Amino acid sequence: MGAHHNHAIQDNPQFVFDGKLKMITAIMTLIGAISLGVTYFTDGDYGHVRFWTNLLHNTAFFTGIAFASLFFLSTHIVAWGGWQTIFKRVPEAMMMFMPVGLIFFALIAAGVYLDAEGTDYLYLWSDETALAEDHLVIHKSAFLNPFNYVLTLVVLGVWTLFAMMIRRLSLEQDGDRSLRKVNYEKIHMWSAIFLPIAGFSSAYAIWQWVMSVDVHWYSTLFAWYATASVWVSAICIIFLLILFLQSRGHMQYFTKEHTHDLGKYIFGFSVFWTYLWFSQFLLIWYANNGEETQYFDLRFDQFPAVFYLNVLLNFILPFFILMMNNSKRAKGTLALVAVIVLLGHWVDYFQMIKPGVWHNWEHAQHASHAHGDDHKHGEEGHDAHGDLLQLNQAPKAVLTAQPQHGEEGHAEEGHAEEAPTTETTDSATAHTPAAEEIHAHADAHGEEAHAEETHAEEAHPTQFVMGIHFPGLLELGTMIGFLGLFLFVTFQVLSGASLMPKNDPYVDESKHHHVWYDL
Amino acid sequence: MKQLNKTILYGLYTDEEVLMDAVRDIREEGNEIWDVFTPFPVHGLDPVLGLKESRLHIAGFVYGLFGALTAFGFMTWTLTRDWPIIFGGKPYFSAPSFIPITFEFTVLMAAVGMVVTFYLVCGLGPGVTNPYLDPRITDDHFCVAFDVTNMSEEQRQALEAKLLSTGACEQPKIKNI
Repeated sequence: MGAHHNHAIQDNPQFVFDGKLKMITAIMTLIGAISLGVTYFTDGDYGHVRFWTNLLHNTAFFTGIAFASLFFLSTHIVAWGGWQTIFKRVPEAMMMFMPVGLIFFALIAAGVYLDAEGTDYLYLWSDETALAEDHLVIHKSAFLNPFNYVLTLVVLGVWTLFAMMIRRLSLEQDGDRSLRKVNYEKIHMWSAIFLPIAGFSSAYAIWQWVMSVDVHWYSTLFAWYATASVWVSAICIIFLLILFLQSRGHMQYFTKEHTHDLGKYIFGFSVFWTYLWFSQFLLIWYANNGEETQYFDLRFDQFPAVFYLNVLLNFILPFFILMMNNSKRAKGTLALVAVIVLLGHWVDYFQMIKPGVWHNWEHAQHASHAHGDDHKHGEEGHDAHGDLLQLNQAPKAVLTAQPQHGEEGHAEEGHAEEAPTTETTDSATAHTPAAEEIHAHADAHGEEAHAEETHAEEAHPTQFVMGIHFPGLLELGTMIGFLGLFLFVTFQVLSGASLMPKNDPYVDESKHHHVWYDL
Repeated sequence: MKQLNKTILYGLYTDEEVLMDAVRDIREEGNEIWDVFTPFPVHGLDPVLGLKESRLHIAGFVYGLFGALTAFGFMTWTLTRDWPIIFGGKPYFSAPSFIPITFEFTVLMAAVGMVVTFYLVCGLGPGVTNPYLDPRITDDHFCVAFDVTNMSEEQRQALEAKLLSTGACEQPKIKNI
């Protein structure tokens, strides 16, 4: 067992962020910048919703991962955890992405505050027209307004201060030879203060950043669900970074035992994420209130590919692959799962943000073309609100839009035919063709072709748009860019101190961490 | 009291580290240890004893699978075949609403099944009084036991000497259980 042979380990504690790595991460960042730029200049037909959603999606996701890294450190320190000590420099480095996330959120907030083109669709509550006429938005405007949005930057700033404080104390500890371990106690105290603040403020921030894109919808579970998502992603990145560092001769004290515990985290919190995701879905599906159901209705009708991909990547694959003990201890298997789950949670954030914004944009189009349109809900400019009323009047039509069709279909179809609106009936029947269409388009077509098609035909509920209904190349490019920037910051911080903490009271415990014997 | 009809030779130790070394030492010479008793789980004792991985979790998976299929299948049968009822305007076959009960029944079956299996395999259960070698094993002493039922007197003496030389805290004893 590794634990018995620690004396023979050759560990290089000094990570060097060399020119090659700098070049790679810089090129990745450049790809992202170009992708964002290209997106901005090609999605003018869609009111720049693709640009704003991509920016928000990746900013929220990677800032969330930085937040989760700080949360990871704090919880373990508060719980007197010791096993994470030998790799605590990795989450420490990751959390220093937070100031960068702050800059990006400042850009988005500036866009919202200055009413830049497209931000009205990104956040319907920042739209003057909606504010004047949409009752639900009017009622929520005390919370959802540009001022409160800017306030989330203060929240992010406070987190950044905690991150800097804990990082500084951790570095000071390296030079602190006193037996009293004063630094450790200070880190412990700051972590304990951070946790309750993080618990409440993260909900505030995630409501503003992500949940409010679906402005008519709300879910009390949402903050936990979204936070669980970035928490799993953070653990995946921690593990992948450790493997990378090991391949360069660092982190040699990281053994199968630490791998096992990180594997248990990825397994356990994937299940936890699913629990929250399903709880949110089940209650809304069962209660069948129009203003709640519209969230899933939209995803079933227009976004089935990402909706089901989300469950596949974040629950089914990690659950069955990591169920056995040995898979959690095998670095290769766990690395594979980490990549799958990381990608999965990126898709999760994609489907949290894109549908709502797309819906806002489509409704704005309907509102401006309402005169010539044959399907009329309510008066002009009341589309969002009018749609809600319909859902309330015809709940049975909404529920029959669910994908299950057994031999009891006669009961459902009856309702669907009686449904008073054309749109809900459409959604019941159009489900399968929509899914097929998505695959066909994803395989066969480029992105620009869609842009023209869609523009020519106007927005239709079943129209597939690359980059909106499924991540396209520009989405991937933007993700690579943010990942590159994230890694650039992480590597820069990692190279700034010894990877092996000194004088931490738990270093030896962590080096000898042992949970399981392979019998 | 249950009878095993075995003759057991056992030695007691007072320290887990001494015990671990003793077990290693004894097994290296090819002696077969019948069992080791400790007052608390000793980390790392299993591989030293050469034990195989427990198959209890495989049983647990089977019970869980049984629970999942039973619950889901039963709800499907009752609500679509036997006595179809519309709940909340949902279709008869409403998979999402089956999930919580399926989940609970899976956990129940896996947990109860594993406990019952464990008790059966270990010969535990209500009303069963198992023989014991020494009451101090449940307090602060560690015990290495040999099955000497079919051994000659010389072999028994050799094992006694081995127990003493590896740090047994008192003269090893023989007990028929």
